Amino acid sequence: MAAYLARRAIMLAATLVVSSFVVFAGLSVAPGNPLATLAGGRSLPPDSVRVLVERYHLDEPFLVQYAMWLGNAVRGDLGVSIVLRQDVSDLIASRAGTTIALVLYAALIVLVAGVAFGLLAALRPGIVDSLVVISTAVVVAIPPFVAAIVLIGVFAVGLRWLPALGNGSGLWDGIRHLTLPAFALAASATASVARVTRTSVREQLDREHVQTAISRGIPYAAVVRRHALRNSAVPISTLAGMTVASMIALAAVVERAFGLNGLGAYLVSAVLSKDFAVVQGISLVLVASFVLVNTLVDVGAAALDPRIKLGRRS
Amino acid sequence: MTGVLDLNGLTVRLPGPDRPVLDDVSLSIAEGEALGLVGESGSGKSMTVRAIVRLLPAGAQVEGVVRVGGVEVGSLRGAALRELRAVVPVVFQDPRAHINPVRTIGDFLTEGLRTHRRLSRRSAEDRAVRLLDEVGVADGQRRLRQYPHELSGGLLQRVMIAAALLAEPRLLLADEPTTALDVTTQAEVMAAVDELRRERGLAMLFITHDLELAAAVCDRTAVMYAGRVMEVRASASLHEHPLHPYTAALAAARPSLERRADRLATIPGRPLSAFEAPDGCAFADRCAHIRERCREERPALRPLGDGQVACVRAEGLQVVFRD
Repeated sequence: MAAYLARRAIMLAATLVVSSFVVFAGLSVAPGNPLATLAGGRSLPPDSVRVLVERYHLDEPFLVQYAMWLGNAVRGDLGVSIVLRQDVSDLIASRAGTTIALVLYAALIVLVAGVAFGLLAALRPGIVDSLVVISTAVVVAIPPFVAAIVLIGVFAVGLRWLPALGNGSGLWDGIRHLTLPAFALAASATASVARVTRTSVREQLDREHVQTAISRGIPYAAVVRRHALRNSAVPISTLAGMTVASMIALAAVVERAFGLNGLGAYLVSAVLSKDFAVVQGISLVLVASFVLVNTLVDVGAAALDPRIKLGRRS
Repeated sequence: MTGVLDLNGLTVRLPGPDRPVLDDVSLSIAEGEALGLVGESGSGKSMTVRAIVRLLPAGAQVEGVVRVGGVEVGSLRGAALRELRAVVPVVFQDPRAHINPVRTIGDFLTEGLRTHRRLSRRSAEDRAVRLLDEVGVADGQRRLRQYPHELSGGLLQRVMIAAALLAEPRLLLADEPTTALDVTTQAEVMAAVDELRRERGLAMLFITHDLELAAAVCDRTAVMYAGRVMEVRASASLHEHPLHPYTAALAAARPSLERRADRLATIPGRPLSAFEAPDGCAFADRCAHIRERCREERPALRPLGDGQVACVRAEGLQVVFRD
């Protein structure tokens, strides 16, 4: 296990270096010179230009620029927003909480509702199963921004159960404000997790080892829990992990739709106002968390299925 | 007579084909007795085991009576059925498939004890280690922490046998327990099963397609063909003096080490599944000694000599088989 973890850590570090390079290279690849990109097309006084050149070491070769920038980024210095004249790190930190809460809330919905509906369908062939299969087939095809519009229309405007806009204040109000966005973000992923759970649990229930457990007089609920569901944990957690990782990026759409003050919405507005340092900083954070979540999922799969570590030499 | 296991007119129909997969099977096993159940693939051996612990596919219709220790299995529901299953363990053919691959050996061994006897993990594990030692698995404490893929097939089958014996059963159902193992491991595992069974005075229904193996470990042997019992007799006499033409053909088909043969003896035709069997004797189409009435009426299992046979010509044919 220790060797496996070390190997995964090295892979994680390598992926982070490559992705940070791509994020940084955007500065040079963008049309025009880096200075114009950083300035976002604004005409700057000579003093500001000097500050920018100094800050980004624009008079140095490209690789040195990257090394300096990466060194700063690792220490938490992501530059200064040219629009707000504030540290990008602070701007990100003040908004990250909303996005983290939104993604965690959505992840919880995906896991609980997805597994519950999947199990229900697997264990109740017939009408219940058909209902779950049909409704998940529909929901799986609904992108978050459509889900957002529908949920706002039904639950905020029509039924007036939950607020449609803003972050809210305090814990309870905050949760109420996050509920519709979280469901919008989770809908499609929940449906796909439900489908995978259903298929996987069905498949496991037909396996010989489940027959053994039944032949030993283990109560059916325990057979389902300890054998069928437990053995389905790898495909379920892999899919759930991948969808949760992708939610980190999808959160931008949902935050925009619900007027939430999160990282994704900020990324969109930073792009619109050509605030390059902010775009770079948020991209770096999003990519890093995506890679991190995927690594956690892989390590989790190895912990759930002892046979996965055998794949080391293949 | 009430034995450990009594099957009376057991008939099983699966959804689909009209013919039953088990047709009027009657067998009984006395306390401490080992009964071998021999037959080709599809003859209904495994289905018999499944019918005893009620593990038949959904939609299967069962007629006849199955009694385990005098208790009628067909009427059991819920907890009572689980209690019965807990004390009638099945050793399956392929341990690799029949043991959950993502749980430890310890989980597998102690699951039954902890569910039915409500033993603590510690005391269940202590028992498991002792029994592992008895079935020839050394270093039990370490084995309990291992996963199935870390053990060889032979070791894994010993683990399955240990799990079966942990339930302290009076009847053991063994469904080709050595078929998936290589030949040397087969012999070792079989020897361990045989010894432990005799020590404990355990009754066993032993399923195999190996007539000689059945003769070696079982007191009596039953031969099945197309879902019907053809012959039941003491193992030694069944092997040496078969009464039924099918048994005789099976025994003849086994190549001998002492004699040189240019051609292996075979039974003409192909094995029938129960649902394909004709109205008369199921073996009629392949039998070298067929008469008109073999096709017309179905021979019943009737007492003859020291056993039972389902062949109308059994008495007359005995002379032929002696040669």
